[in-house]
Amino acid sequence: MSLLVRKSRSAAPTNVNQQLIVECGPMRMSIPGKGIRGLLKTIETTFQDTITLLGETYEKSDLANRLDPTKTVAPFSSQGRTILCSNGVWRKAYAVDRIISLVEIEPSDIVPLPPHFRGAEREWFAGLFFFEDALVLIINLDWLVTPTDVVPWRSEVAAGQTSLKSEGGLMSVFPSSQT
Amino acid sequence: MLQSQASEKKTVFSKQWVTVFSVGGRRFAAGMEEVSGIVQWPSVVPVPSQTPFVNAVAWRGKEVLPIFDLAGQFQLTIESDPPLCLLAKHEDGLMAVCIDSDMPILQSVDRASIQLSDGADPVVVGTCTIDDQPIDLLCLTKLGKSPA
Repeated sequence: MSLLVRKSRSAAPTNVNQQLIVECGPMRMSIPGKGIRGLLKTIETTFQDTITLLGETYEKSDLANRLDPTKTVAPFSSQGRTILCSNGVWRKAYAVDRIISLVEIEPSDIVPLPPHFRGAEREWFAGLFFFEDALVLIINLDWLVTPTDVVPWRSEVAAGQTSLKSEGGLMSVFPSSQT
Repeated sequence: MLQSQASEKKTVFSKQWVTVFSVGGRRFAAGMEEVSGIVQWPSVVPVPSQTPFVNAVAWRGKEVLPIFDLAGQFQLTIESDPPLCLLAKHEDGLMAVCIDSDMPILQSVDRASIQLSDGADPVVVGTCTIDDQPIDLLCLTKLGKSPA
């Protein structure tokens, strides 16, 4: 059974983007599919600080802890997964509590973060969308994988006018989603 | 007769309508024109945030509403279950505020009884006296703004 859920309205979507919806504590967030390089069971990587896949090394982090230092994902849950992410420049692996779904959404379905949020969260999240009668936060891929001590050097990327080129996509992770 | 009408007019203009609501048992007042409505507490999702007292969103239909944690700002605890949702006309757009389940009331207060604060705090703009008790008068359009 495929994880992929198509939320786009048109029969042949042309401008959709894939989002992998994950659960971290009480929050549901999505990671852009274009940045996902692989999925592993967290329980199999518990005692590793880094993960190497196809010759590329990913430093491991906890997504709940990255957003709130007082929280962590459950380390020994059988549902826990570690997601290997890259924006083509930087790589990082994040542990999450569980995978909910892979969805395709149209840009018009994405709601921006309300302007009342004025802190660093504006950099953390690219917007929100509805899934199963609830809201899901879209994580900004560049923020997710860029080391915290690195400032983007390309002015158009820093200005949000273009995204960093990705190397692949979810298709290689979920072959059934191509159909 | 004319004198009487003029006198009535003067009375009308010297009054201000406020919405009186309670949060964690403490009463607050806000200008009636700053309240868009009172609705049932909606579904909510937490949003990791560094903006003080803004760390969740609610939704009504397809409308996304940021939530302002007024109870948190005043170190109060809402024990009503379910609480109510006050829709505040914030200057950045509509905002949801969790309030006690006691239905808010509209009250007219004498403008002369409103004691304006020094203006340092953009949210608590003064106090007004209702039922012989001083109540903080809030400016809901400025929720979340820091004192100067």
